[in-house]
Amino acid sequence: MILKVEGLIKKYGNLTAVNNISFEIEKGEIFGLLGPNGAGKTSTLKCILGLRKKDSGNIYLNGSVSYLPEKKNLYKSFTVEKMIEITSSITNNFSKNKAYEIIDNFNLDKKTKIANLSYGMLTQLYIALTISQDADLYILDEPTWGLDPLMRNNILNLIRDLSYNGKSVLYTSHILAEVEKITDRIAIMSNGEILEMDYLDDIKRNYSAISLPKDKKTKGYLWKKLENENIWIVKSNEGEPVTIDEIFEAIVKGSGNEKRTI
Amino acid sequence: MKKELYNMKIRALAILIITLILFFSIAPFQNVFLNLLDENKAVIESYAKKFGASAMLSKLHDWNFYIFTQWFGKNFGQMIPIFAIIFAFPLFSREVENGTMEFLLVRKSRDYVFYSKVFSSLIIGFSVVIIGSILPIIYSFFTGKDFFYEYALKYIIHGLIGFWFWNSVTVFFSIFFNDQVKPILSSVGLLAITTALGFLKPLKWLNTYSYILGGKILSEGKINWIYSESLFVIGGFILLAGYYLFKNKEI
Repeated sequence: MILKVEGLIKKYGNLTAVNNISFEIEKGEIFGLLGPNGAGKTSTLKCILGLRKKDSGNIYLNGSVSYLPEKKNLYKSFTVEKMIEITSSITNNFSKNKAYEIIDNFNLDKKTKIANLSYGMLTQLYIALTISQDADLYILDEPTWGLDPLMRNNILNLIRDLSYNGKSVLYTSHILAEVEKITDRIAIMSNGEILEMDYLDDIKRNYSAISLPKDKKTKGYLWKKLENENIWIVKSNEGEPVTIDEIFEAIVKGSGNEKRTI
Repeated sequence: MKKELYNMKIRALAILIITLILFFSIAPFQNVFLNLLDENKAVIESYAKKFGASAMLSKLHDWNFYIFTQWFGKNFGQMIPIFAIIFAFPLFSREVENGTMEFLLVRKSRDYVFYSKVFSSLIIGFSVVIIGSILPIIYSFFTGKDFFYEYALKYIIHGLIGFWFWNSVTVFFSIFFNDQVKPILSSVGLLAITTALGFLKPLKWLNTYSYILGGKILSEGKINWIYSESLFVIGGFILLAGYYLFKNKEI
């Protein structure tokens, strides 16, 4: 086990951003933390990193961490080269050669000032800096946000390579298609709670869609309201197969609209 | 530390240039200054009498008195708190405002980040104070003027402690606020308020300028040790408060 989060609670005044969540990440595993905006994903990551103080719960971290934040901000007055030099001077187990190799692959010019990089290029540079650190756990918050599809695939390959080399990855994303491509296990968060957590294939296998008359309720998540019936996504194999997108949408909608009946 | 020094490079260079310009706009012009005084003697003397500064006018012919009042006691001395504020205000607030604080804190401990930032500003600031204070010694040596350098060394102590105090105050505001404007406004505002209140006799001690400009050194030839120690300790407590604030700050 590389990371264990146990009963984590984080509050901002009266708002409970993270409400008693628990999960574990094993060595070499890619774990996806999914959820809509405001679900509590970033607060969870920041509590793990010690950037924010938890109100209760335990976090056990068994090794070093490298972190890619949601907002990719670097020092605008530095050049790419200077940024790599500075990162190298303050980061343990950082490989400058690996960083230069990655930015060469991304076709980033070393002499360009960070202020002149586009958002996509800035993300690429930040990813290069994060991945060039030899860590046991890589925490990547929306690593592919704002990148074109080609570059996105490049990044996903880099993340997959980390896992092949025995590194663990905790990963958040809004893009479910890419989550499906690389994660081993996922947790779906909404309103600060983990509503579902399992291996991706098991989640897809365990859920199906059924239609019920409007006046009937069942154990599951109300997904769609049609003219004469409602579509529910339930934990059973008896209905129609559903995609991960549909399961995610139903779980999040159900939780948000309090239409979840268990 | 390397990053902090690199970040301060331009500010340090600009402040050093300002210091040199200020010095060389005063030191070589003693005679020009005295001629101007002589030409307007009648008007100036009437005002000098009103403010009880008649004796001062004649003393300005003395090189030591001229440098102590016009450099340490005016131009350079006045700039020391301003320099301290300029060095310290962006230290933490700029990182938070630009979203780069988490880049640092996931790589280094909070202690390391705090110490490297505070020490960098103190090292550079102290260097500026020392350079500014020894400029008259160097200038006097090359121009063959007889300079009472022991007084200059005493001014260094006042300058360093004045810098330490205002640097600590601004570091605290830089940690407390999340943007760069508020720390600079708060520090400059506090400097203005304490200076203004210090003109009232019972609150004279609030005016840090009368200490930094070295009035006691000029009048009695002594370092004001009680004020030095008090300012040093208060600055230390403010810095300690800033440290605890930073240790518990959510990013």
